[in-house]
Amino acid sequence: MITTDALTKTYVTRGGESVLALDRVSMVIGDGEFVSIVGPSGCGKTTILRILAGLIPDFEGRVEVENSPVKGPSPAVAVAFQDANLLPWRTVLDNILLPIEIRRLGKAKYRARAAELIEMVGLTGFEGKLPSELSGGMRQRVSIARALIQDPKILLLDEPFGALDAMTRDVLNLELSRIATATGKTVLLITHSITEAVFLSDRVVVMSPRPGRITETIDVHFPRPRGIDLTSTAEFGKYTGNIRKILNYV
Amino acid sequence: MNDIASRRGTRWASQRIPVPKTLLSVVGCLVLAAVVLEIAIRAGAISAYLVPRPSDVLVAFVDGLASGVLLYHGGITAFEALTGFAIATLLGLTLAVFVAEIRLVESAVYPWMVAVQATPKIALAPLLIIWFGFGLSSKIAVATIICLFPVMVTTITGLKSTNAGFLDLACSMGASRWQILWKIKFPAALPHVFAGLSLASVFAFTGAIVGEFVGASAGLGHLVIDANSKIMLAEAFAALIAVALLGLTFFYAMQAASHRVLYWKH
Ligand SMILES: Nc1ncnc2c1ncn2[C@@H]1O[C@H](COP(=O)(O)OP(=O)(O)OP(=O)(O)O)[C@@H](O)[C@H]1O
Ligand SMILES: [Mg+2]
Repeated sequence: MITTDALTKTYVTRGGESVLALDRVSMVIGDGEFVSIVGPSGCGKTTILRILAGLIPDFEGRVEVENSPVKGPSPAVAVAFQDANLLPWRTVLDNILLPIEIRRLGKAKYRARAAELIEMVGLTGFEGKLPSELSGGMRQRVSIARALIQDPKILLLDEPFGALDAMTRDVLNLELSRIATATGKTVLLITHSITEAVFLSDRVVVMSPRPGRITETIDVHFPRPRGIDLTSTAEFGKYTGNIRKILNYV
Repeated sequence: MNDIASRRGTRWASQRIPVPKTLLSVVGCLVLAAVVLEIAIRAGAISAYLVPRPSDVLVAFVDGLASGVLLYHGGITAFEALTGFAIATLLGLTLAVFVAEIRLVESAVYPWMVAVQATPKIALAPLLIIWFGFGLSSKIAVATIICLFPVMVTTITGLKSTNAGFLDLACSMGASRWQILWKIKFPAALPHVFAGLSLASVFAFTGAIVGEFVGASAGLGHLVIDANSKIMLAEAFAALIAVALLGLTFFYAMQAASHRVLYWKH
């Protein structure tokens, strides 16, 4: 569960001026919910995610993750960034085991789990490869497997597929949808793609340009599991059209 | 799989074949230059008092090897250079970690390092002989000082240029400062470190020779000075060639080591 109450963030630039990045953002994401945030560039989406991940120490308002205030990185939360950020000197397997190593949980105990995750993201046979031997899409899959290895309650995804081509993106979205349903994680996804947001989410949060505020929250009522055909239905088009309208007229 | 394997095959092949080719062209150039020089000297176009005949140098070199003189003095120079290199590497890496990690150390130590670097090391050599004596340790000291700066500066640069995404990632996993240093920053800095070590591998021999020039009773530098003073140019050249070969060998050994350690870069 994620709660933010009047979350406000002011950055001080190097020149000394203050930039209001987030203005009283309040939202609640329940256990097992999949919520996406869409909004124009620079509206503070990454800032929200970084605050939730415990990477930004100073902010105003109340922020809770799993019912305790955020004071730094928590093992209950895992992050996947826009760049896969795989360590180039580590193999796929060792990249996935990095969080286990960092938290000293005993790598040996997690090998079986790593193998499961590698299978889940469709990378069986690539355990021993280096990141430089993988495609962009494969790297993002590794990054997601790495986020899942410590079995976090919450998954924070910052445009994980933003740099990929449309077809790879569709495939990975399907997989993400399947993984989220199968594992029951609470997921917060940041994306620029309205289609992606509607397809994956139980709820879509639409934000205004800077200073970032929540303009509207839209519940998406499609049953799961969802197939990619859903995206070409009229009902789906209504959702995306509506969000597009909100984004253009704020 | 197959695709990667075959790609790797061609990559290796294209890397392996040029080595003998390069060697061949280098040796070819050398032989050609030696022949031209030999003819020029024999024809009287270049005075034999200024440049020894390549054939004489070759004879002196082979004699030096056969009598063990070159091996003995080469061994001493190599020992000085490699010991200096090793000390500089340990010291340089350690200092670099402190400078890169601790602000206060950076502002206190870094200006001194630059000041030492700005002083020509040749000017320091006589002092080092006074401090460390006439023997091997003063030459090791010169080699160390010459090697220290490149190792340190490249390592600091490497440690400070870690991809911000890697740092975010490590922080989000709750990594300690120590873990970030050893699991992220240091491995990421290794390409920089090895660039510094490659430079230092050549500088190490310069340092040892400079030390020997200033005052020594053994080593290839001593041999060059000694032969020069007796106007035995062929012997001086033979010793110089031995220095060059040692430097070359160590440099390529470093390259090979770097290739191994930075396996993910190829
Ligand atoms: N470290 C910082 N210092 C100063 N200002 C910052 C800093 N980080 C972000 N900002 C500002 O805060 C605002 C929100 O940034 P943020 O990265 O959260 O936007 P975003 O919604 O993720 O944008 P995008 O969709 O382009 O990724 C931007 O206007 C940005 O200029
Ligand atoms: Mg962003």
